[in-house]
Amino acid sequence: MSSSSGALASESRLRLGKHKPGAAKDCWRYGNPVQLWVLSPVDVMARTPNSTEKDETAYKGTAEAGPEERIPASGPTTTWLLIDPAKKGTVEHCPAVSFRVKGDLMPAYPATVLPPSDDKRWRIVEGTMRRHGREPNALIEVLHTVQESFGYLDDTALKFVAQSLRLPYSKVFGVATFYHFFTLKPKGKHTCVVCTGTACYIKGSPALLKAVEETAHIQPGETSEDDQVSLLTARCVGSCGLAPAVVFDGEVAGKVVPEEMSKRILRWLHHDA
Amino acid sequence: MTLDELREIARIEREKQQEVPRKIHVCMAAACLSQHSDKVKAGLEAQIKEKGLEHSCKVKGVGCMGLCAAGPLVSVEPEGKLYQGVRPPEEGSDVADIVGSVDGKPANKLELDPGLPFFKEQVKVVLENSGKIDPERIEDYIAADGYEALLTALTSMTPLEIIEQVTKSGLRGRGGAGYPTGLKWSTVAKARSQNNTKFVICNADEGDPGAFMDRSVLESDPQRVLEGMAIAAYAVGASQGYIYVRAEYPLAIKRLKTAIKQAENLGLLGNNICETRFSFRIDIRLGAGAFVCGEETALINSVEGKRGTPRPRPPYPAQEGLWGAPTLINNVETYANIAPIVRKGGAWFAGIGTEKSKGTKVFALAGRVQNTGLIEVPMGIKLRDIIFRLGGGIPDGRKFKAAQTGGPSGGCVPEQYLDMPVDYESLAKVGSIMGSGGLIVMDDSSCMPDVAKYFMDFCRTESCGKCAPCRVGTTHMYNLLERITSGAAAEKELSLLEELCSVVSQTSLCGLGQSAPNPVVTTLRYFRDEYLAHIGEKHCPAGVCKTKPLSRTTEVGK
Repeated sequence: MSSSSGALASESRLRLGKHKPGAAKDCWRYGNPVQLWVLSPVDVMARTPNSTEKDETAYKGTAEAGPEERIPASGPTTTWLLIDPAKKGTVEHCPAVSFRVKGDLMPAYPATVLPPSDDKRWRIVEGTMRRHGREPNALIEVLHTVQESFGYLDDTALKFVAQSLRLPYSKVFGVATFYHFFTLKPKGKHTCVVCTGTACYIKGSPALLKAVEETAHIQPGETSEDDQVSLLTARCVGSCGLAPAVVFDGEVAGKVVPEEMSKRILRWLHHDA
Repeated sequence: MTLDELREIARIEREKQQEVPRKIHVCMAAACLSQHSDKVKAGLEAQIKEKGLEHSCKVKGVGCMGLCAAGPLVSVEPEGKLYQGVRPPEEGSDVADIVGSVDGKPANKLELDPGLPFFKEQVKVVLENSGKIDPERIEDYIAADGYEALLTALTSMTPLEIIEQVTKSGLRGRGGAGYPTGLKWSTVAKARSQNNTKFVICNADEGDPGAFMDRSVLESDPQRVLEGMAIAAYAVGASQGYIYVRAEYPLAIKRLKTAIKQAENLGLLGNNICETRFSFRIDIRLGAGAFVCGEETALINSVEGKRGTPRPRPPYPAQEGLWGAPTLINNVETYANIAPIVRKGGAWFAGIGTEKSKGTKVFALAGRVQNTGLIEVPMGIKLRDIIFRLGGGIPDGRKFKAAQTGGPSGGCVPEQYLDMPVDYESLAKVGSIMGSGGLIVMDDSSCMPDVAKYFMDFCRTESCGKCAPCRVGTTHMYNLLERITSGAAAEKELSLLEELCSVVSQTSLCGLGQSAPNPVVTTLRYFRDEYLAHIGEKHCPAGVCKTKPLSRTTEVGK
């Protein structure tokens, strides 16, 4: 879209909210072209304020894909619908036009949202979003990329993802907090993930957790005061043959005993102190 | 890619493999990798080069060989010699010893007897290639008859004929519930949808703690799952597939990505496969650590990028699934069974197993058992055989107490049912479920109320919170179990617990809540005396729980 799209988009955003699929809503615009984000199937009609129901077909919008949007092979197609009354004879002379939109409708955001900073890692995030055509359903994939690049999900990142994927912030926050894999807090320099799966539990993972608690004074999910060690738990790392298993900085260690655990944690704690 | 071209690739690959008479296989699945099998492999390669054996011996990284507890495992083919616990070169001379034995020197102490019941009594269908082929090379899979089934199906079978074969095989869903696969496929095949969009999903969200079968299959033989999905897509009329895999399995994800790319390059996935009108693409979707996403409607929500909360069924995903289109969802192991069924016919598969449960089942054997690892056994085998023959019994001379199947949705099977055949119906009869195949053995050092509490804690935190019975009920059950194990409960609280069990299982929205009480129900049924000991005598027979005995004055005061 050209640079004018941003201005138009923000204008139309005033009038258009999120609609439930199938619900019809009249959206009033005065003379200017209107841009809407719609999710197919879409049915757009325009009429003047005084026209009757029969005249509704006087104008029918056509749905076209915007130049920067890829239509994915599957899933709902997000279509850039451009209705330009100035080009259509019937609507041109009317001071006001009402658009009736059927289907799932999204507020029109500017075509591109700028990353929060110049940090090069945002490019990786942008890449993932581009690969998925900025579809809202790519949310979990994008959050994975953010967490992989930055280590955790902060507020800025969540807002950026929400805007880029044209999702309400509440939805993004909801997903980020629903799944255990995502963390909203930065981790320490070293991480230690204790598996608490059944096999590890039976073979003594509670004792391992206690060992960390005693040496570093942290509970699962916490980071030591000097930001050196984070203690996490996992449901199951799938190394049940090696129970009890602990993942030290991404490396799985099997058949861990509490003494070894304390030793390792102590080494981490005092390494840079 | 036509069938002839495929066979040509297989022929060239087999010839290439036969050029080198001896092969050393090194397990490169996650369990052995965590014991540095990659360094072992590099060491073996260096050693062979040093001795100038390149033309007579080749090192190959392969998938899981099963006995994870004894990793890293190395096998020498074609003799079938097996070595356990091989340390990397910097920690000893193991590597040199193995290469030496190839040269004709006597065998060494690391040698493992391949005639052990653990290896001998397995029947391999799903795992037939595990530990034999390189999971990162599609040619190796093709040389082992890979993609033969898909191309045969595409060129000489109608979708209906494939579904017939699958129905005839009697294959049932390996995710746990055991729904007949053929029936599911024909429902999706018959379903009509707008512009004929249908989806195929592979459920690789192996959330059960203590289960690692799917991870092993994906790490050892990813192409087999892709082939199974492609056959399924052709049978039901889908052109897009998704694999929903846990983000906690980075190696499985990496191998899947490699496998998809290689299959696309050879034209075995993508547009107009085998010059037919059939097109099929597979994308990977990562899970993010939610147990409830193993439930099919929750999984669909998660693939759509939403919170993984289930919705009431019907409509079943077979009618209205991903983005409202008919969707086929099967487990990794189910898809892994498809290619052999198509290749050898449904009748062959139906010849294995029992009357109602056909084929084999992969179990992840873990807990207090000598041989922990991955096994594949025919349905109907006795539980005693699995634990005491294949598993090698309980270590440290302790006594068997219970076998836990099906993870947090399953139950504990006590000693008196050890001679029961392992199939869907028998396990259901004793209050447990087949589940996805996690089998955890417990000995007398485990306290059953404590185990029930552990599972309830799991369900309590994994409940998605959508329906009240599950969200509130599991928390209340956990609190009751906490009171029991800490010795604070009165006997009437036991009946309250039982009542809660039946309420939660009958009124919850999805499988998570409906089956959450199972561990409590079965332990209450078979180990009630342990509960009573905690309540009445304020004593934990296994010595696990820290019960606080009430002092005499408190009791009098009461």
